[in-house]
Amino acid sequence: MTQKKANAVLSVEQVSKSFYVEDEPPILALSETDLEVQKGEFVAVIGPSGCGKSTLFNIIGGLIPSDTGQIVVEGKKTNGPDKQIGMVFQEESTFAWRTVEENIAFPLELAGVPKQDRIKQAAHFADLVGLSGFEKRYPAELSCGMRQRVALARTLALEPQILLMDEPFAALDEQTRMLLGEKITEIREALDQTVLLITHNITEAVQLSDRVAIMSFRPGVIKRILDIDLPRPRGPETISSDKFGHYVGEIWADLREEAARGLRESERALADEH
Amino acid sequence: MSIKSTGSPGTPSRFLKYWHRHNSTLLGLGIFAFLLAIWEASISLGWVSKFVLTPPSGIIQALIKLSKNGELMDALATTLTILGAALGLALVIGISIGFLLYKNELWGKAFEPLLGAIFASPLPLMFPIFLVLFGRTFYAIICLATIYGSIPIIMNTREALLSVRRTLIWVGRSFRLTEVQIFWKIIVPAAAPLMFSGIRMGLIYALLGVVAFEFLTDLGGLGRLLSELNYKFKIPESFALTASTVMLSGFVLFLTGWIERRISNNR
Amino acid sequence: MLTTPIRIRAFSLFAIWLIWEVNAQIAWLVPEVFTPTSQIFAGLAEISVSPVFYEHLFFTIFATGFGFLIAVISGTIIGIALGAFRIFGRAMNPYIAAFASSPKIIFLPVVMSFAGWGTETKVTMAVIGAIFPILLSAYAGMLTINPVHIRVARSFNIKWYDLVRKVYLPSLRHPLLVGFRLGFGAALVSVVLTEAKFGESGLGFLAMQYYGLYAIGKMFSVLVILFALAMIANFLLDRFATRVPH
Ligand SMILES: Nc1ncnc2c1ncn2[C@@H]1O[C@H](COP(=O)(O)OP(=O)(O)OP(=O)(O)O)[C@@H](O)[C@H]1O
Ligand SMILES: [Mg+2]
Repeated sequence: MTQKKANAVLSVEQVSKSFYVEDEPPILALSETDLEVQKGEFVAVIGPSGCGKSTLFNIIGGLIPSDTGQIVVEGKKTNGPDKQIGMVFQEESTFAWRTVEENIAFPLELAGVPKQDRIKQAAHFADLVGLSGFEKRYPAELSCGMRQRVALARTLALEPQILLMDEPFAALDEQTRMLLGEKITEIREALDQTVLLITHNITEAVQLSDRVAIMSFRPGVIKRILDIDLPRPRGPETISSDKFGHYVGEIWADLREEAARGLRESERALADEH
Repeated sequence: MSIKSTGSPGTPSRFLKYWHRHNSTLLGLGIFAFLLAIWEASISLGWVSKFVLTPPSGIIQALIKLSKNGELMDALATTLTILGAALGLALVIGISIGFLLYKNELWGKAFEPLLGAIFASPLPLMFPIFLVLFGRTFYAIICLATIYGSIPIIMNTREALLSVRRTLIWVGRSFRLTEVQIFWKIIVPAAAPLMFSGIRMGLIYALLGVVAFEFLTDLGGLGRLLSELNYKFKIPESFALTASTVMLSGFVLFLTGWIERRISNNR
Repeated sequence: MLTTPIRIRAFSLFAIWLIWEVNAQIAWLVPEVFTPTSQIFAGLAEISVSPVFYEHLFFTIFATGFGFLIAVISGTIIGIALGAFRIFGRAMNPYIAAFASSPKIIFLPVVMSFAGWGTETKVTMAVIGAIFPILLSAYAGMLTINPVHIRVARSFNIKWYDLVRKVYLPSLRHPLLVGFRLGFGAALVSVVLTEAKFGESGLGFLAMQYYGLYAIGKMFSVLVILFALAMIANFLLDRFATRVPH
């Protein structure tokens, strides 16, 4: 499994993680997971709820240690958060005490960028995610989806080589999600980024990715990797094409099994409680 | 087609709009004025003797008298000075202990119920101990008020720092901030509103402690003056002083409430 | 060793006691205040056999309990009323808050000017102390009741007293209990401070008497008894609350 391609910019090697909760059997969230992402590639990781996607995300980002295995970025084993990696979290992560502009400028501020430049750059990234005109607002005055875009712009502000996103569009409506997806693809091309997107939305995965990694329910492992061979840019015609539908169907066939297993297990857990 | 705005059913008149925005405030003022009027009337109509109950007009006269001869201002200044000292100490003690109990989870868990028990206990009854310890000095007042005020600050500081969501801290980590930067740039601002409400409570309790102690021991500012006037049977003046102490509490409450709203304005 | 919160708590309390005791034995820091615990116990034993003490105890408990009862009834009613008619609640809130956060003992001159020097003053002071926490808890509890429940109940045409009994009181159980506990503590503080200032009877008076005689050990004993009283009341209110059916 460990044949390495020379240009893999990010590789997950044999990563396992268990969680121990008192008075309960340990949860094996990830079991010897492998994944390789090539430079400039857009990879989606898809899996049912609770399969360990966020756990994988946090381990790649260096926020929680794995039990075994390692994360390698550009040939170097990481130890904690890597400079090349920018993260967008699943949960609400904007700073309520800062305006949109100040939120986006936060990493720049800590990097010592002078105020004038900071504001200019923040305005640029706000515009990129479709938030121009909202620079002086506070997160509480924005919708969930807008807040998520603020978080995205804040991460983009440092122009990371590798963008990690954990279900960033989950709170968005379908139309905004699609449009923002197109935006992300544009940004990625402009900044020549590598993207690892975690999602549970099949259409989103097919619309955006070069490859889709399908995760199994606990223990989480990458069950299958599917190449998405569709032309870019993927406008409405592509999405309504038979081929697109075929990919969606194929992923659903794989996921269905896993999702059903997840559902059964949670039902059993509920039954045990009563 | 031109529609006059006044009186047409779709657009309420200016007065109605104003009423809808401030109806509870206006109603409150109305009820308050009404109660004052009854109070005044009950004395001027002779239902109650004015030697027993001073009417609002008498209280105002007494207030004017007390402020003219400077007694009220002196007492207020003394009380506020003592309060300031106690609050300063309570802030230092409260925030640092609260921080330590946040840093050390185990000790935090151990002391949380103890602090709650102390806070719920009739702490002001301890005042004779402070008298024995410090004698009849301002230090006794400051010490009691400091202890009284620092407990809510300790509890809220710990609570506030603990309540900062993990994701916010992880944002800092993912930007590779140092732990110190994460603390000052993320944890502190995120915890600020809850921390301030602890400080607000601490201030109110410290004020309570100061005035009560002053009154009981005839020492210091407002409380001492009240006790003195009471001993001299200057009833209107004591009523006036009680009223001004309540107003001071109300003012502190209002001011800190305003600051609190400003801090958590955007949340 | 110090690995669980309970052990740390026990250890800290023991350490405080030890420091106190050692300090008292070597008579180092303010020995007249930090008397040996044995002396406090001796004081307790001595007090507990004197009939005078029980008289004082009775006066304090009577004034506190009586005032507390009045405050429980009136505070609950006012709190519920302010919560039921929200506009009045919002209107009166700032005034009530200002009174609630001022030291209650400053009302003593006002109360004395029409209630005199006797038990009536103490009872009134207890009411003033206890009513605010009870009223505010009841009011805050009322604000948390789901308005949908009230509308549903109204749609069944229920009488107002059934609305209070079946909808309001069950959801107010917890906030009222908290209010009663705070209220009892405040009533006790009010009464004892009144006794300490002007009383001729009661535990507050007794404590000040011992203070005047510089019998610090005995003064401590009285304070210990007062704290115990507050704790017992807390415990009883707790028991009572768990007994009351839902
Ligand atoms: N800190 C933790 N302590 C205990 N168990 C945890 C912890 N974090 C995650 N888990 C468990 O590990 C499993 C995987 O969690 P994870 O958050 O990675 O799921 P996910 O795939 O991101 O789900 P979702 O799509 O709902 O976000 C879950 O069963 C969860 O209960
Ligand atoms: Mg997740």
